[in-house]
Amino acid sequence: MRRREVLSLLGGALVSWPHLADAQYVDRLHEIGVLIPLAETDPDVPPRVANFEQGLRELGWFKGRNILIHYRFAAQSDQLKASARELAAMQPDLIVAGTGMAVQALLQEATTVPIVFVTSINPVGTGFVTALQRPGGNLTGFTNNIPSIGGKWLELLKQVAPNIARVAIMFNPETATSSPSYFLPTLEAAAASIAIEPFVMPVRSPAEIEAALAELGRGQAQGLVVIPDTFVIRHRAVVIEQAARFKVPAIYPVRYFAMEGGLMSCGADMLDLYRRTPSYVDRILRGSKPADLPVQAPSKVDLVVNLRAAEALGLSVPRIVIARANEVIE
Amino acid sequence: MRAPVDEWSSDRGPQGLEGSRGPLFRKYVGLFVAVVAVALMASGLLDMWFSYREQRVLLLNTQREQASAAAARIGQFVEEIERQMGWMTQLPWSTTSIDDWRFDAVRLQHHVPAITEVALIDAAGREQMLISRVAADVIGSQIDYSQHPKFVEAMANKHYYGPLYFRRESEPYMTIAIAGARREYGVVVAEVNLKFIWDVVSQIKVGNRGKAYVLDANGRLIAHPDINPVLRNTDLSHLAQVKAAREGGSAAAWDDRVVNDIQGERVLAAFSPVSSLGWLLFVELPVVEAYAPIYASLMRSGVLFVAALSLAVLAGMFLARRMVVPIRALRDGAARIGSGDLNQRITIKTGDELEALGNQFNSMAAQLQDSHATLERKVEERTQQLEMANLAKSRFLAAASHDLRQPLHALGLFVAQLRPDMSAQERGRVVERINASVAAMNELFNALLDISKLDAGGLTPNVANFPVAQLLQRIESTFAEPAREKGVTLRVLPSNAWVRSDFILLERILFNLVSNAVRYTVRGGVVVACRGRGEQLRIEIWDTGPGIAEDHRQAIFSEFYRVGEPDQRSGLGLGLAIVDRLSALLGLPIELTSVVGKGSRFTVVASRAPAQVLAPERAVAAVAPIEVSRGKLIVVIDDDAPVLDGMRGLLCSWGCRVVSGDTAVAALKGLGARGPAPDLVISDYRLSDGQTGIEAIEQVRREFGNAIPAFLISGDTHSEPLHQARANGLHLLHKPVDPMTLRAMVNGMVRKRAVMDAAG
Repeated sequence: MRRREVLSLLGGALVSWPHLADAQYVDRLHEIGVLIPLAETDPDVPPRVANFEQGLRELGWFKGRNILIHYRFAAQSDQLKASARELAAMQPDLIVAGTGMAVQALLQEATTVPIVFVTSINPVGTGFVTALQRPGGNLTGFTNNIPSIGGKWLELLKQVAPNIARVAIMFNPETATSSPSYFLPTLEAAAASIAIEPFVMPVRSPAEIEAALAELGRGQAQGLVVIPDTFVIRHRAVVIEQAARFKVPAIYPVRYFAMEGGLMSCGADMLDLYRRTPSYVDRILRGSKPADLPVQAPSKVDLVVNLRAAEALGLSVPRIVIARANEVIE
Repeated sequence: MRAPVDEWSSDRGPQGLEGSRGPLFRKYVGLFVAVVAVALMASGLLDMWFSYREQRVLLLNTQREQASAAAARIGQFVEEIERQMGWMTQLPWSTTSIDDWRFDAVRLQHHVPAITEVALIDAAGREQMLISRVAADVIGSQIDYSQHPKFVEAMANKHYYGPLYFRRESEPYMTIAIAGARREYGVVVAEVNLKFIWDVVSQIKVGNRGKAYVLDANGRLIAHPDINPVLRNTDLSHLAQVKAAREGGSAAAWDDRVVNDIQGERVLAAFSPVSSLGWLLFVELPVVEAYAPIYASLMRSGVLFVAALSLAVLAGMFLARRMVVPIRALRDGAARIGSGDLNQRITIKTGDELEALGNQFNSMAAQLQDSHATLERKVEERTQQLEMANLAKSRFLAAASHDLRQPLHALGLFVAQLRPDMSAQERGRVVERINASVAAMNELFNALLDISKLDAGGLTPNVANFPVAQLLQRIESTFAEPAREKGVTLRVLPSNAWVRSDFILLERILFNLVSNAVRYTVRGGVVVACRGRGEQLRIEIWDTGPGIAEDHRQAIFSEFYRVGEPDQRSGLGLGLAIVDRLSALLGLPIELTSVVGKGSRFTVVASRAPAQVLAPERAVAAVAPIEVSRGKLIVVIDDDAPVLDGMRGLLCSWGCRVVSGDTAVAALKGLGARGPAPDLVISDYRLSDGQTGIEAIEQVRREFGNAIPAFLISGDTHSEPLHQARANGLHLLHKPVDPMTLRAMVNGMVRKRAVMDAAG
């Protein structure tokens, strides 16, 4: 009957009326990839992961509930390449890249997935972004470098080892493509007022590291500044060991150097960056475009002083340095 | 008996209004739907209006709270910085304690992560120390800031808040300078990273697309979820909400107008001031999102409205149909009944007034049927009666013609016996017999005439008081001789009573009764007596006749009914019928008592009248009645030649002189040249040239003077001639006229004239 048809039609329309509720995007399960160019067993990985997930939780993202995180760890470059391909193929909502190298690997996959880099030495220089305040592309993130930090490094070294006259700046030219140009100018500018003479020390292999450090140790009143460089970071054990062996006071850019026996480290707080990255993850997942999110500089500078190493070097750390330190290892 | 009832309650209407879609139906449905629609719409709109307002208020309150909370956080942030910085302003600058100063600065930086650099400016405005987190410290630079606002204002106002600037193109910073308690303590300047504020602002969750932002005292953006307007140093002081906030109204008093945001989108805005800085924190929510629930509700209401309207249409159709179908049944049933089909019955079973109405219609139809049936029955009865009456009339005619034939037959026989060579005695005897036959025929005709007159209602009783003795005397004189001839004694007992009635008609009744009594009594006698009883005068006629059986008593009063052997009868049985009618006319009941074999007694119950003195009899001129008409001139007008001839002959035999004519003109011509006026005019009522007898008499009277006595003779038994005659003061005799009667009338008329002449 005509009547019944009409009634059923109306009833159906009423029942199946699409909700005019707000688009609850957080109801949907989001997927992100995290690519960290460190071995999974690296001792620095767990705190990074912990900080990252902590930051996510603070913003309302709970692993397994409304977000899925695919971690990939790769110590070698070919492993990095493979992991990058794997993550790109998954087509997640975005990928977090631990360093600039990870970003490079991902970029080679020509993926359109937004990328947030936790650290990047020179995002503009390496072409990740067009400008720091306006990335303009599909990438954004944080830099962990402060150009002026070079001055601090020298100042600290001088305060700890007052009789240093020359400082070597160690890096691998093949891996540290942008670091030298990034840090050297300020280093050199600061060196004058601190009465330290800086010079460049490129290394390309662990053997060279050893040789370089041996040479530093031979000459008196020489110190070491390590600028951010994946090669050196990878071989940090060698550097630390040889520096200690040859009694070279050194200052490093990342904290785990100091944790593992280096004299001092002063640099951006990587863990803090891992804690701050979720803010960009959150914003991008909620609809912001990476192009509109400016590249953030680190806000926390982390000074770690290893007193034991100082003692082994026969150095006494002044009060002011200890006061400055975030962490003192005894 | 009623025909089977025809039930009629379908909704197949007559031509003109098809099915259930008539105007009444549409009206009801329309009305119903309109009512429902109006109610729903009104309720829905009201509901929406109120929920819209409530929603707005709710949202704004939420936003205000968010703004307050965030502003509080930012305020605290800045206050804490200042407080910490304040520790460094406790002592005047001195070069002796650079390390201590350094320590203080480092400690400050520890406590306040947001401070990237802290500088000390001495009382003279020279920078003495710059401790940096990210760069090498600078000691004793002696840079002169004595003119710089950060020094000048801090010295003046105790604190200085620098404008927003950016480091490394994207890091928001501002300079905060605090002066010491005393002038000589100098100024502490900190470069504060405002990213924290940016984080606070970014993290304020305002719906899905809402946002918060901070403006400085000049209306410029300090923090915004999108850094670009901040970088561009956007000035938002033109926005309505900014103006209102800067005008200093309290956040609570800001009314919930819808305003435009940076991009010109319409938003709900709430704000909160950030303590001492004079900053403003705004929380905005796009109106579209704010009202999304309301729009959703509007959609739902709309759908509901449509659904309910459809339901209302259906319900309305259903209800209207229930209402309209019985009404239609009523209308059609009434139309049917009205068009004459009374067998229709309307069936409505709705259990309400409509059903009652239908039942009323049905009972009305039933009553109509009943009255029809009654009418038909009555018509049938009347028809039957008429038929019976017709039958009776036919029988009457048959009997009358039968009874007429007897004397007529006898008459013919007697006339045939007349021979010129008969002896006078024989002739006398035959003539006597002829007369008897004629008399019998006259009697019959008179009786017929009487019945006819009575039936036509042409008689009006002429009631008067008179002594009953006059009647008794006439009875005696009339019936004495016939009784004696029959060998029956007749005794009329005298009475002094007076009676009130019509003399002639009462006489008639009594004559008939006595006549019957005499006729039917073979031996014995008839007694007529009067007995007074109170108001009544009972006139009794006893006879010793055969008596009348019980079952005949009523029937004898009908026409032609005759009891007894056929050979004993004579005359028609009309006598009692006439008596019956007259008694009804005069209102005199007639009682009958009879014993078969012994006799009968008829009683006429009349009203007594008070006795009066008898008026002296009028002196009557001593003129022999028989002879009074001798030699008089009588004009006879009749268009029937034989009748005319007969009349002339009879009148001449009485010694009158006769002039006759078939018309008044002819009669006048006959009179014509002769001088004397006639003494009497006798005219037939119906004359040949359409003239009535009355007119003829008038003509003659005109010719000779009015006083000529006249009377009419008519063959009509209608009441019309009688009326006309009476109206003109003329007597009327009906044909056939008994010669004696004729002679009496003639004599009477002439005598009257003579008396008048004698008197006058």
